[in-house]
Amino acid sequence: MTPNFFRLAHWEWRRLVAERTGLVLAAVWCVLLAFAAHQGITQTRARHAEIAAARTANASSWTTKRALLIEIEAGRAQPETYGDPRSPTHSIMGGRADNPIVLEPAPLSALAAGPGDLAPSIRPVGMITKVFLPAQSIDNPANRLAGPLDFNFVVAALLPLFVLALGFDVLAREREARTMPLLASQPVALGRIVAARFAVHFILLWLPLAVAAVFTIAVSQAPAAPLAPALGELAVWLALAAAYLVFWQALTAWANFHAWPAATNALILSGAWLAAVLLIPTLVQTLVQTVAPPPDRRAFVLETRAIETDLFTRADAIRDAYYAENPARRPTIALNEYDTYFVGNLYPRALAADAALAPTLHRLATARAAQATWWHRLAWLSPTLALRLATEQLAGATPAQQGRLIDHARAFQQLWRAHFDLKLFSMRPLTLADYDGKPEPTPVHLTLTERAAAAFPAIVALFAASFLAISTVCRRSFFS
Amino acid sequence: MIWTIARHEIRHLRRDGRLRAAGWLGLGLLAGLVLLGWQTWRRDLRERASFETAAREQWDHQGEKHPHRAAHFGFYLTKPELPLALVDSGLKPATGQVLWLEAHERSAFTYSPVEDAGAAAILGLTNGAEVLQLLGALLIVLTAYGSIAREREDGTLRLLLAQGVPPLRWFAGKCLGLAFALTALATPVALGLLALCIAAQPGGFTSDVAWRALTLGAGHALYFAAWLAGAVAVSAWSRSARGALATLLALWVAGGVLAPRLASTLASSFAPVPTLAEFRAAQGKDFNQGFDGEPGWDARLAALEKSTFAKYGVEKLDDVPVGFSGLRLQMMDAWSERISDRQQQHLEEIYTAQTRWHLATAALGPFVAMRAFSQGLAGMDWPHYRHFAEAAEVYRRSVVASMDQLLERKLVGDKWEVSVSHEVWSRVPPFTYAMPHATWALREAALPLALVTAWLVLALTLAWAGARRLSPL
Repeated sequence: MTPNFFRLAHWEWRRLVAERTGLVLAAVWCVLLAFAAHQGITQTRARHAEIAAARTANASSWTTKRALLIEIEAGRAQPETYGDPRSPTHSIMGGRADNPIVLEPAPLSALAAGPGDLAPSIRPVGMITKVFLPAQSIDNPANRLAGPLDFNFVVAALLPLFVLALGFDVLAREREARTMPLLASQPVALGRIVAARFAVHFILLWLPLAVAAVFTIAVSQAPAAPLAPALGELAVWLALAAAYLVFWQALTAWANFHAWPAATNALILSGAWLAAVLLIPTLVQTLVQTVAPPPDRRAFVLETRAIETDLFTRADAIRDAYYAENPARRPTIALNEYDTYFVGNLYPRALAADAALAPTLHRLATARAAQATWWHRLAWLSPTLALRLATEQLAGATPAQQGRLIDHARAFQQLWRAHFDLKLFSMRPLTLADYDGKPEPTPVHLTLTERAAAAFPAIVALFAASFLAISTVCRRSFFS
Repeated sequence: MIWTIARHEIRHLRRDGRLRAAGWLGLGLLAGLVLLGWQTWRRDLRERASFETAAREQWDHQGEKHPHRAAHFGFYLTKPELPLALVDSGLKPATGQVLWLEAHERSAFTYSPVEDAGAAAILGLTNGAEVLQLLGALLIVLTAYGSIAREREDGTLRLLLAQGVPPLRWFAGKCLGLAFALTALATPVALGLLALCIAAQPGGFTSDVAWRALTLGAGHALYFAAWLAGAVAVSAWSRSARGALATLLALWVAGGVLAPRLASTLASSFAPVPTLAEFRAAQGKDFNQGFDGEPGWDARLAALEKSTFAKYGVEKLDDVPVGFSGLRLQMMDAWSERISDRQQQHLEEIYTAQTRWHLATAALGPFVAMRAFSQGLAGMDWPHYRHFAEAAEVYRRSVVASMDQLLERKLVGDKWEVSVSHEVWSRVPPFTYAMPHATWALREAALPLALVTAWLVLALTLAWAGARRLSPL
């Protein structure tokens, strides 16, 4: 950096201010960032609130049951018809006894509000919960289809347009105004002039982005979460955004180093944007669906129902086999109709269903993993796609990463069943020790290492594209 | 004279290599997506039919079972699609593929494809109609941005006006030439898409579908006319071709790329949908505590017991000569349905408010309105999904009610356990559904169509005003 460089940058700044175009573009850019920040903050706070509400409801439900148990055992209260805290079927079966297994939003999830919207962050888990079933959604499908105006979209799709609008005529205008010979006669390399101009554009676009992103992350963090790790991850995200910005600047500079008119530059660069942002992702999407089709959910429905029907018809045999293996768990008291169904039919079927469904679930996970692999393989085709995939992975919101929530939920279900299994099958009354020793649901944290490892191919693709673009334009500027 | 100018314009367009390349690229992408849509639609048609048959067989052969457990086993249905859906799949990627009907719960679509594909999948265009609407508009922009401004820049406009060519006639000739060239390009595309739709399901291309296709074609004609008039108007008002191109590209990006996302953000900010937990909590509260002064569940159950005792002249539930659990379930379902209707109506009001926000962003350009209109006529918008879900809900209620009545007849007193032979399941009538008529679809999509028309009127007005003030400088 020399004084000359700063002087050149200063002139570019003065030109942008004088022409007002730069200021208008910067203002529009800031408005879009404000929208993205609002979207990210609102959605992330809503997720934190939803998680907190689910945890509070769960804790409150168990505390109430525990308090009632103490009162009943002390003879100060009578149990309700279907609300006896000592009864295993009343207390641990049914939706109200389910525990919320939570996927903690990753620090960068506020910057990728779109993907987060598609996946639930809570899975209720109990003795018979089918954790593999999709969570229902009451979101408007029109909103889900369009996706929100989040940072991911603003940077991936709109940032290149601002780069092009500011720089498409960075040299072409000198040619058209016939000031190029004068410029070329100055004791400054043409490449340096272009670099100084693009440095101003970079600051004009990247600085508001950095400020908006830092603000969003700082405001949207969970109340007790430390800010420092989040800011560390944000630095990675901002570096990706910078690499992406530089890629488009390099492309713009490359067009300018050709002696094309400004209108031709605009057309060519718009075409490049169209290809990177719309056409290539469309083709990749089509290709991925062809070579690695998504899991066939209708077949999955039929398979699960066939398994359920089979297990239902064999429910008595399944129960008897279980009691033959575990004679100590046979009920010692006569059960009523309600308990007979839950203990002798529903629960043994749930256990058998898990084993029977394992191959189907494995196939679904494999299909998802194959899709993710293909997306990463083809991310090299478009820096926009690479950025999108990298930021989505860093935000921890891809279907494969969401699969971790289901895995964790299933692991917790095993713990939960192990704790209450004996009491439920034998229908012995629950005691205070059962309440106090019950497993507590733990949240799923996707560590930075895991997310970065998943995002690594896309990150490499993006940095490689930027490096390639810069080296190409440097060679071109040398020969100009 | 108008024809001479039009012919000159057409000749100029034919010689422009960039336009040819852009046109071929757009057509290639459109053909690719439509062919993929065709293949997917045909496969989906077969799979839907076999799925529903298999799901029904599973219902019929679920074995001896308690009727209420059979009601919980439930049915799976899939929404039928018109052949037009192969061109515009509408909300399909974001809406569930199947509808599960079971006891107590209102039917809801589950397994939306986008959940499996991830958000990266919705970065690009999702169907042929979007390509047509977005890239077709871009092609028009690239074709027409310089139509007037370039002549002004080159100085030929001054020459023409000096020769006494009437500006309005020259302007009309230019527009006619552009319109003719674009129609020549669009007609085979439209006919090709029509042929594909007919070939996809010859028996399914009924007169109603033909009306929908015709209306869809007319809607697209209005939309493209709006873009053409708008592009010519901007070209007439701009001092340079570069300025015209920049303005038009900005409008295209704002209306086609930014508006859908902005719409989604505005809709969810100003008309937020409650979370599923909140929605269920509201339903639970209504169920237990009642609403609008009506009693909640406990009071209703007590009243039912009292009235049953009075009706049969008994004092204990065990003495009731019919299955009280059947009566209790009938009342529970009737009460749940009223609550579900109330909460669903509230949700639908939010969706309607969100749709208005979506359409409000049509102020940035006609793309959002055109997309809504196209989805509606293709039978793939939310009103069509809702229409199907409501029909399924009526069916669900009738099946669940028949199961509850079975309990009332088969049991006595307060007993609960009973098994019913599998022949009973086969007697449940199959679900039948007729798609709403084209006029219904048009009525539902009237507002988007009006917005597209408004854009056309605005563009024509601006073009007319631009033509009247045509000057060489």
